Amino acid sequence: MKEFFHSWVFKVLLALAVIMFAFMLRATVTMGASTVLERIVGTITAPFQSLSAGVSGSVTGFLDQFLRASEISEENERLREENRQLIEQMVDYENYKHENESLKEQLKIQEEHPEWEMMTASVIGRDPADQFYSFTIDKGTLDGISYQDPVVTSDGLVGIVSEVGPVFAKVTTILDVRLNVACQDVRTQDVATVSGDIALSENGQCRMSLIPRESGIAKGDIIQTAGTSGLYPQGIVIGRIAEVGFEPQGTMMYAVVEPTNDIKNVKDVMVITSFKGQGSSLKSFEESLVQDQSEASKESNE
Amino acid sequence: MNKRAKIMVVKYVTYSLLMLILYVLQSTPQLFSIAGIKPILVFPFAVAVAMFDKQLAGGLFGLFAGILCDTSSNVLFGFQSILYLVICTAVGLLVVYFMQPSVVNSLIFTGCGLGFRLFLEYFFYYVMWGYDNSHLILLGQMLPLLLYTLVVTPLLFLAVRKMHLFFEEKME
Repeated sequence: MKEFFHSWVFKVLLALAVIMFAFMLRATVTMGASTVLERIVGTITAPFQSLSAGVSGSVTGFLDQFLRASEISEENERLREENRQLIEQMVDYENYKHENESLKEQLKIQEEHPEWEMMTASVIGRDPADQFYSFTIDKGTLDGISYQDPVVTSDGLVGIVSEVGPVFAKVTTILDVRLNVACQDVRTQDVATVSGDIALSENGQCRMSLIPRESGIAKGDIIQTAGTSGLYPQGIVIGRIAEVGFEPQGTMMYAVVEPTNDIKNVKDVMVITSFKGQGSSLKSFEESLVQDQSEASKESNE
Repeated sequence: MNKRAKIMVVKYVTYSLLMLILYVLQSTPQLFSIAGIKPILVFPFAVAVAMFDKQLAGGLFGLFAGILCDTSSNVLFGFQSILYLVICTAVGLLVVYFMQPSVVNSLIFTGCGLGFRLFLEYFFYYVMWGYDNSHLILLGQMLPLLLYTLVVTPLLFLAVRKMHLFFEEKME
């Protein structure tokens, strides 16, 4: 065994380990940008993954026709579409209602709609070792995709681009504990944060926290992005509230959110590459949240 | 280039292509998925190569497997590359000096190696940050992943052994 540590083989392997360590250090510094090595490997493997995902999807779809009755499949599809439309209508209704009230108050009639630039992409890979269903899509910087672009489907928010290469991008989903999304209740307009939760992610659910105790938030409410962080445009549906409870400290409330998307099995997504307010500062939102939190704490202490 | 060297080149090109195919299969959405759990294919393959082709080839294929996994993974790039390089080199050395290349040993190496890598991820990504219910990741996700990977390990070991014997025969 001793000879090994004096051999050229050991020196070669050690040199490779040092090079990989250097790549690792670089990755920690440039979060979001893929390393040269990763770009090369990703560029080589992406077309194969895309082909494989396509074949696999077709085969799965074909077998599904036999394994499950086609009527049920059609019915399910129709109901999902209806459900999506109803949610959209409810969101529109609540948004218009709120808008109408605030416009009346401010005597402003003009309304502004942010213009989103979007790019469709297909899911080509999922890491078997990832616990929060992150995935790789077939579009990258060459298609105009950037780090931290929001990823959505017609059902709502899926996640955010967490790393991008020339022809691929990695997406972190809203089920991930490391992702926080500023959100608001469409009905009550309460602003809070949605993030992943280890226990809930198994059921495809996430957690809404930092909800003020006096909030009128309730089961069934629809949650959408608040748009205050500059990472997501305002008004993307995240999900419905499935359960409401009090935090152990008792100063705040939390809610379990059932995402409108089937994140575990999503196959096609859209990446929002540009929207009004993109990259704007998070500071004001964070300050208001901290202020709300401290006020709530004071009130509970009193 | 003599005949032996040519066969060696063909052998390692074949292994590399197989590694690439296994990577594409393991990262293809829904393929081999049971209750949302998918096996890792490239690591047991690299371990099997290390068992038959000793530490240098083992280390290099471990590194290759790690780079592929890092490319699709959300963990820090280089984390798996370095670990798999070290683990597969160690496997090569253990087989040279102490152990035999057998199915049982391949299960032990893959189980310990992958278990170690998953535990490190669990510790550095969840325990250290104090997330609630982080044990559920270990029990509900990582353990089934490890078990599922161990189920496919003998198949990959036998495939590598078959190829190794085939190329050895050609070289003689």
